[in-house]
Amino acid sequence: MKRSRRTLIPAGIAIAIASLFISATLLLGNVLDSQAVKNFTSQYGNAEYSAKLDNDSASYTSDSPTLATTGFAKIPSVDGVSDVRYSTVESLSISAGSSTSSTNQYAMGIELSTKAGIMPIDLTDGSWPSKAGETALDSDLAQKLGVSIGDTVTFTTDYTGDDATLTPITAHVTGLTDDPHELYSLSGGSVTLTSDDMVELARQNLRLESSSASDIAKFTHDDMNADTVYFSLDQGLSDSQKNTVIDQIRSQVKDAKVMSRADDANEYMRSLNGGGVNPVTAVILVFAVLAMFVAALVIANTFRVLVTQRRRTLALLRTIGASKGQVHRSVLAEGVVLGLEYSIAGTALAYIIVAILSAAKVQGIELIPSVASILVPIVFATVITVLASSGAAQLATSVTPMEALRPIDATEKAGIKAARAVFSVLFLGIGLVLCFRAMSMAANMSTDSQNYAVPLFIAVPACILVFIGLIMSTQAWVPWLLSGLGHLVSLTGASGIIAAANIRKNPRRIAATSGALLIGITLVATVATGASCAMAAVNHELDSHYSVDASIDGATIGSDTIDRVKATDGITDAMSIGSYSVAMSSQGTAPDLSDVNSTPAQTSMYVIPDSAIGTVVADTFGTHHLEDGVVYVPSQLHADAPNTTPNLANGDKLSMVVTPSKDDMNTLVCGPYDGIDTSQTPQTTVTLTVQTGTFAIGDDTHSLAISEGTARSLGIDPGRHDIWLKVDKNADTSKLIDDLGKMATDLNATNLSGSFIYRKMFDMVIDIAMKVMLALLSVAVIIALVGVANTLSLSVIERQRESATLRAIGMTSGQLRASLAWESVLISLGAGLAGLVAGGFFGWVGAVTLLTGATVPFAPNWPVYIGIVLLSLVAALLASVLPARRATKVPPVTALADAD
Amino acid sequence: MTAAPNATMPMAGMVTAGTAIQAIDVVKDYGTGDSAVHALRHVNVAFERGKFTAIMGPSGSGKSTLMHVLSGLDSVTSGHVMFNGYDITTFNDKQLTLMRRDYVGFIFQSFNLLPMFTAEQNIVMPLTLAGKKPDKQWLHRLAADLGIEDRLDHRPSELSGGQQQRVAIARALITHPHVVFADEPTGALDSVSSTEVLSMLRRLVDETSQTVIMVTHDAAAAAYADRALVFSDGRIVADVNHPTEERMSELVMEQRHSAAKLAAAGAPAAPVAPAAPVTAPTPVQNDPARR
Repeated sequence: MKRSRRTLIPAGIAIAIASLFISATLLLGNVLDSQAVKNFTSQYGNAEYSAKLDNDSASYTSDSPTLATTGFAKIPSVDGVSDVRYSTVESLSISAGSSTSSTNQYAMGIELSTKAGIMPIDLTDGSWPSKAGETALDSDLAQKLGVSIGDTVTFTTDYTGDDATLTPITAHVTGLTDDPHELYSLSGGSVTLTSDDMVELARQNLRLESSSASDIAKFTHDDMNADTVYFSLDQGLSDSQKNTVIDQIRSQVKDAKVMSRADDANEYMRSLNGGGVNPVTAVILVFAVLAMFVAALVIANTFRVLVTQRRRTLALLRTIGASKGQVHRSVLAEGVVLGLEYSIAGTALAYIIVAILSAAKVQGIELIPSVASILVPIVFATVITVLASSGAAQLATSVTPMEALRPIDATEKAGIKAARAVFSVLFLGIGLVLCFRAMSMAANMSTDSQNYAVPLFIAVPACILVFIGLIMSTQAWVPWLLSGLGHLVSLTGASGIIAAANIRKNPRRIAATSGALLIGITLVATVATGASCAMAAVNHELDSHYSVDASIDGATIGSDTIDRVKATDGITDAMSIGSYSVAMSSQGTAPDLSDVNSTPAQTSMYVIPDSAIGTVVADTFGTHHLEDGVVYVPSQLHADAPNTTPNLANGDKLSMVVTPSKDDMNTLVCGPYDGIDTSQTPQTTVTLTVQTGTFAIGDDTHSLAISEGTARSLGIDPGRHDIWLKVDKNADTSKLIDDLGKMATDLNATNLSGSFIYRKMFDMVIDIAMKVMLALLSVAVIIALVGVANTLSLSVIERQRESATLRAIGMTSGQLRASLAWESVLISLGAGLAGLVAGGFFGWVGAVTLLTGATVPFAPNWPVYIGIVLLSLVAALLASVLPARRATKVPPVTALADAD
Repeated sequence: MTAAPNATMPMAGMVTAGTAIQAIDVVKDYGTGDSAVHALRHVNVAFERGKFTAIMGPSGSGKSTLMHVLSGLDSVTSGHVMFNGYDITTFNDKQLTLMRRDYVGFIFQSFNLLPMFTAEQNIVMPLTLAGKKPDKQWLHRLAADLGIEDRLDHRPSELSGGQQQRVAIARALITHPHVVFADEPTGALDSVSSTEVLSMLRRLVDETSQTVIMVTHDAAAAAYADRALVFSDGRIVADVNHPTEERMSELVMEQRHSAAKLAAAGAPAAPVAPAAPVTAPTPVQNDPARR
């Protein structure tokens, strides 16, 4: 069994890739864990211990715990405690010096530790503040303020700056700090202050809350709030002395946990991972296991072919006295050696790759070795290899000594065992029925149903059942499919004819190879189709929630304005849409605008020309033609504002007071609100027939829509015109927002609104999720393609004599290469097409059952499908290169040599 | 390289009329240095058109190597092979392949039919490879002559050895080749089938003037030929016209004895009989003729 080393290389590569994947995933998990710990413990700075309020312990009263009530205030005075830092923070508004011209910045005031030795931020220049009126600023913040060491800054806790009663605190900048863990960057940067200034800031807050002057005067550091204290102990304490200090602290504090940094981190990791692996790692491991399963198919196939090739040798061994057990063991032993060798290689490669990435300082990557990341892939891959080879070992024992004495017909018989056929048909049937049941259940379910998850829970196992049925029956349908494709290929000439004939010769081997590829491609197609169906469904939902991509409200519209807007990059269409202001009453009768208590619902009513539907506004009215005399009301209107809006159904009559315009939602011109004199404003009272629809227009998303004809019948012109925009989905969002903003200013617009940002976000989330999954699945596909190369090279070795004969009687080496390429293409394309059909179906079922109640159209993801087909074609051609080289290297003289 | 012809190589010879194929001072070594095996040592021989020639000799004497070199399956170390008027030692792999496809027929010891194709598909395979339509009339005449008309739809595994070899003969003849090479065509057959196959080859030469070159170690098979060469240690040691089984057995036995003696003495074999007279070696060119 030793001569097969070379033959086993492709199977070995499959094992190596799969174990590399597993090892790399576990290494990634280590990095994630380590980063989580680092982030978690970054607040410690150099502190070794912390005391944290125990949130579970509810013994303290409604008053928020202060340093005095928790006993935290006593920690600095405990014997043996060196440095103490309270987690007190105060949000503040800071400006450079006293000048009013400088811009305000928001920042986070943090308290310096008692000995300034355990801060979570680093001092990069100058010194820490030593007394009130001194501060160390985050260097980025200092740059924004334009201050450096020695300058003065002023700050208050007042955000708005409206309250003039607060005296800003003035402080000298003594030092600059760096925030390596980005602890305060989201809050605008840190402003490190002594405890005295922190107390002063807290007093300012009290003043803003209008506390009494005596309360403010009584307020001291002990009254401040902090949920955590970080502290360090004196140098040179023995372990027992440390324990004594900690015990003493424990006796001083109330409802708090005193822990060392390491214990705290360990506890955090336990709570994060639930005692097991990191959840991200766990998800990726699922894909890794899948890759290993595909590798197992490749391995099983290889061993099967090897045993078939060696039947004569095995038979000879049996004739000269080898027992069945010996033959069985020899195959299994080979599996163990192969699995060990290549999984070690794969794991080593994972370590090397991560080490290189870490050495190249790729962000966030570091090599953190662990026993699991070495042992798990090796043991798992070896076990899988042995399991995969056990079928072949079984086959090997079935070789009878008699076979040594007879010629063997290498041609396999197509067809499958009866039991297998029955089960696969059963699985397929039950699976399909359940799939369709789940889909109809999902379609008929209301959006807010409690049982929204039920269809998905039925559909997932149903799809798995169908898939197992398909995989089990590959030996029946793959040869059938491929012989069909083979007939087509035969038309291309001699190479095609020979390729098709060779495919027919080994139906089992081809079926197993296709099966491995089928798994990969089906999963890819499932994810891609699921994503595109979900995207289509979400788009449908978004159309009714964000019917207009973007709108420039209340613009001054000149003759060329629309053309100029249209010419902007990223804008595909633009239209001027007139708008009225309307008031409805909840009673359904015309509102009495003189009576404030009638609570008329104020909103806009847009005049939508038919040509706008499907262009600047989504096609969600259920019609491309708005009827005259009808008001289109968003169906969610009453649900969203039940107290102020009438509950309307199709056919109801709605009375409204219509005025030509409004400036924005806050200052309706029509209403008696804000004391506007309505007598100066033309207005009319109309009653229109209601037609509800799922759309959302206007900046309140509850605006009404009427046709141009209805608008004319009102007798007054719309007072405001908005420009509705259709945005190119692929446009650069941030640039577009900038451009639109400039445009809105140029046009004196009152408001700019754009729902395309939300749409883009949804698109991005789905897109990213799909791409990540596709990337993870691609490993399985790569392994399956290695399997195709493997099958081809095994076939090439087996067919040496046939190839040489063909060469002798006139097949050029080009024809031989072409023939192998065709063979590879046939296998890949067969599996690819079947995978696309199956995956397309699964993806659709998944999307339908996931998004219950929504209309989920079947949305084929053509780009991905074409990509799959092209990629599998290219990969198939690549897979045939090495086997072809091997085949053409065989000199035609071999044909004349005697049989082995 | 000379302007080397390919598929459009004309059938007319331009060396000696009546010579189908000729080896000129052909040397073939395997390996180099001390371990080199000299399979052919300056072999000069011409094969007449329309004749049935047998090449005999003990195993390792070089008879198969000569056939490989003559048929373009293998390269020479030095010397020239004139095939149909062209020096095929100057051909590249593709030219050689096309030459074999269009002008050479092969009959192998173990038939070498392709198991996934029917007998008919096997027979027309050289034409399939050339992208040509088979001449149905010729196919059926061959099948009728060889007695395999009713087996055309069978796969090789469903045919007896004799039937398989007859299919292989049909395959060798389907392109109307210039030369048919047969490598121990009866090696895997029983005596009845052997006789049938040899008689067919004989009849083929008699009736259609097909040039056939057959390698065999069986004196009885050689007796079917018009001429028999005996090889020993890379040289032609006998050239017999109208060989009989007895004469050939004798010659081969002689070779075995001298080879055994020489092996004991450790000296190279001396030719027992002078090499067959051949046309003077025409140095077509001095190209080392290596592919």
